[in-house]
Amino acid sequence: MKENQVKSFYFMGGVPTDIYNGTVDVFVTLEGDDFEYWVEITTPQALSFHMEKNKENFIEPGYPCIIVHELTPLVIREALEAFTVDKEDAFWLKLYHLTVEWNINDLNTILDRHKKRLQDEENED
Amino acid sequence: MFGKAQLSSSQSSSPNFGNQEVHQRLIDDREFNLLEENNQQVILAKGEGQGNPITPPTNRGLSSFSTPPPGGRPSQPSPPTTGRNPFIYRRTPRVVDQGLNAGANPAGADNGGGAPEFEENSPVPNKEQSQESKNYDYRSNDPQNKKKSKDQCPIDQPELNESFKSNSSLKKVTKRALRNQHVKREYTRMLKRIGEGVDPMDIGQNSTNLGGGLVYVRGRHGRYTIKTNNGVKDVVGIAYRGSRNDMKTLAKEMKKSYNVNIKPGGY
Repeated sequence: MKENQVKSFYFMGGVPTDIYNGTVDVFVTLEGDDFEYWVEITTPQALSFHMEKNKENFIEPGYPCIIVHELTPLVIREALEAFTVDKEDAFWLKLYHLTVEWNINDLNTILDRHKKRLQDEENED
Repeated sequence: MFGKAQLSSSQSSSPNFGNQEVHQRLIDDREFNLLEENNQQVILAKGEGQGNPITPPTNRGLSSFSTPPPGGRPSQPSPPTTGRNPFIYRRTPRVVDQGLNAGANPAGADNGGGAPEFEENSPVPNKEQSQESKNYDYRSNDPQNKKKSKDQCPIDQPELNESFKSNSSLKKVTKRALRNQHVKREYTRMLKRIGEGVDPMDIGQNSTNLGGGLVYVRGRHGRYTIKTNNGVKDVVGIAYRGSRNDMKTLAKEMKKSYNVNIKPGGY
């Protein structure tokens, strides 16, 4: 059960000055995996503040980020642990990390595969 | 309008207009060339406004100043601020028509010249004249004036440097980042916003103040470090957020060049 557990992480872009209203970039290393995963972690207050500041009713589309109550190492680690559940092979962490690499062709490829599977299922029925 | 035209033609016989005709010709020649080079539309408008076919430059002056807009005022050879037009006087420089009307009065004073009534009787209301000056502002075509206005009116936009371009350590990083079309577009938008005077802290989502005038801007696709020094914005680093190595290089360079640790110790 040690696999895929958070080994260490560090901030990129400085430490948060306001733990309740801020955003941090975090590099995460998992046990048994030397690769450094990148995730963005923010707080609800920061999202709310961003909308208010820009007079927006919603957050503009963007890559997903982990939302935590406060930007302390303890809470961040707790959140990261949840994103790196061993039995899921750190599915969520990898998902959040990889979205930045996707383009529309990748998505369409997956979508086609998805459509084909649905079609096959319908044909089976 | 006709009355003015008649006056114009009669002016040439007046002794007061002997000199003026010479001046007028000089101005008109210059103006005509200027207009012909820079703004064909203006010449056309002039002809239409006068209701007469375009006359040779020597005749255009008087008939043009006496006509109402839009043809009445185009013979403005130079902006009033240049001081090159000896006939500009009395009125505010913005109303360029005054120069033309004044041109009819070589004495250079309201009542001292031979035909002050040209100006006083001008059928063009000030409001209309101002409107005209917006439509037919030849000054914008005058390279001399362009230069002058640039010198005289410093741009309000904050100065912007891109020192990352001269940083050999970050050359590869920034080149790779800007090769990404998303980053490139994002960076262009960011530059535009900085040019509009937006504080780097207000760009991106929750940018971080690193201290020492440095701001770490979180774009959707890229990360940017911007230094503000005496109001001058300087983009000191760019990295693609998807590249771990580039981000590390950026962090290393920030530490080395600005003694700012954007990659503090791990947990």
